[in-house]
Amino acid sequence: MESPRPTLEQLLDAHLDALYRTALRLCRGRTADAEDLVHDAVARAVEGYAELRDPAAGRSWLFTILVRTHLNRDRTRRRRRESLAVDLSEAAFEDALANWRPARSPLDDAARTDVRDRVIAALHRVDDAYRTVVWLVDAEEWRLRDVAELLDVPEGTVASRLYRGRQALKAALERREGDMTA
Amino acid sequence: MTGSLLTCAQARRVLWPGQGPRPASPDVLAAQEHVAGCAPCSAFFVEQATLGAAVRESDRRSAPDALRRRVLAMVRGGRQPALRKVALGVAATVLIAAGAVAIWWPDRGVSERTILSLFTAEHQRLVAGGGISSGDPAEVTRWFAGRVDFALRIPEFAGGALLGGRLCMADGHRGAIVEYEFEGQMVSYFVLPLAVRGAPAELRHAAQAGYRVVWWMQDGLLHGVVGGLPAERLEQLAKWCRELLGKPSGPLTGRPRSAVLQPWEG
Repeated sequence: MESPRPTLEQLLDAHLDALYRTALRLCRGRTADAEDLVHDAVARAVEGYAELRDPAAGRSWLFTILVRTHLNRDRTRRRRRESLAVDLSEAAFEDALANWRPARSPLDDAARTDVRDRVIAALHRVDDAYRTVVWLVDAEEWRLRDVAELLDVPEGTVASRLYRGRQALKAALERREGDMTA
Repeated sequence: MTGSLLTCAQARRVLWPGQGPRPASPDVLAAQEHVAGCAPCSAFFVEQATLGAAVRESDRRSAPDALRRRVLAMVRGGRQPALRKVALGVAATVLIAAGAVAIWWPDRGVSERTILSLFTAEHQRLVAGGGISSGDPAEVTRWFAGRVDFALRIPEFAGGALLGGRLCMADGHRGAIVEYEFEGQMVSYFVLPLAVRGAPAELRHAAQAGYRVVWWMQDGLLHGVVGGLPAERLEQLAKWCRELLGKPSGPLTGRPRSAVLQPWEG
């Protein structure tokens, strides 16, 4: 028997926390901007809810609205220009994987709960294109192919952005470690 | 590395995370065999797992209650309270906001130092993105209308270009920042629902982090202009703002009235 279609209110109730955390990452931790992004995304969701055909896709539908709202804002915001990510070809991605070097110091403590703030600060120093992928895959447990669909890029591009994003995160954590021990 | 046919890069690519459950294809089995016998590849995947776990555990916070209430109210079909307030007109709304401020902060207020730090830190983030980019005061006013809990009037200044606006958080409450450009210099105009200890009705001047600040309290809201303009010009801007706010205005529904100020022609 088919489960009843969830209301938008039920969907939001279930996913608002995750949407807010993702908005915080997209906005590099600026709470006012993150709240505003969620607000705008929900306004769009209210307008488009009737078009949601598959209730099981509600979560990814909400995230897609959120991320695309953010991307649209970035495009229309003329005063802001970040260097765009240069994506790797599949061959270049394999070269990068082959050339991986372990962290200078063990990163074991990076997964400890008491270093959350360090990880967040390091993550906010990672370029937008990489940070978005790292967050969606690692924190929200999206599959590469779903992120590829959301961002409208090939799955291999998402895989390489995940790698480069994690490398950038590692570098940012190591820099921070160096700053603290210097 | 091992006797398997795959290189390290190929094995890492095949087993790269985020691909979801997959059948045990020959490629996957060969890659697993490779990694099991290859110390660098094992270290590679341990590091990837560590970084992934660090990100996953980094932030488990919940959405703020106020945000939850706001968006759920929107979903339920009710327009936001702020929009209804706007329809009541500026005079009534300013009174409501002033009253609310008095209730919210009956015996407290933030310090001057906190305010100056907020002003300059937010001004430095001027190019950080977010908010609205528009030179149309009506559009900027409409954008703020559902986002802040007070009526906001957007001054226009001859000789200056309105660039847009964005939100900021001050002591847990949403404030407005309107952005302008004067002769190549960026100026931020702040309106915050905050009380400051020893709240000044007169203009107060300060300099911090290389910027000049002129700020004052009016109608229960904290106002400030911040930028790198010469002190007398910034003060003139503040005076014009204050004068505008003291004038009666029509309702802000539809196209709001905005005064065109000419601070350099006084």
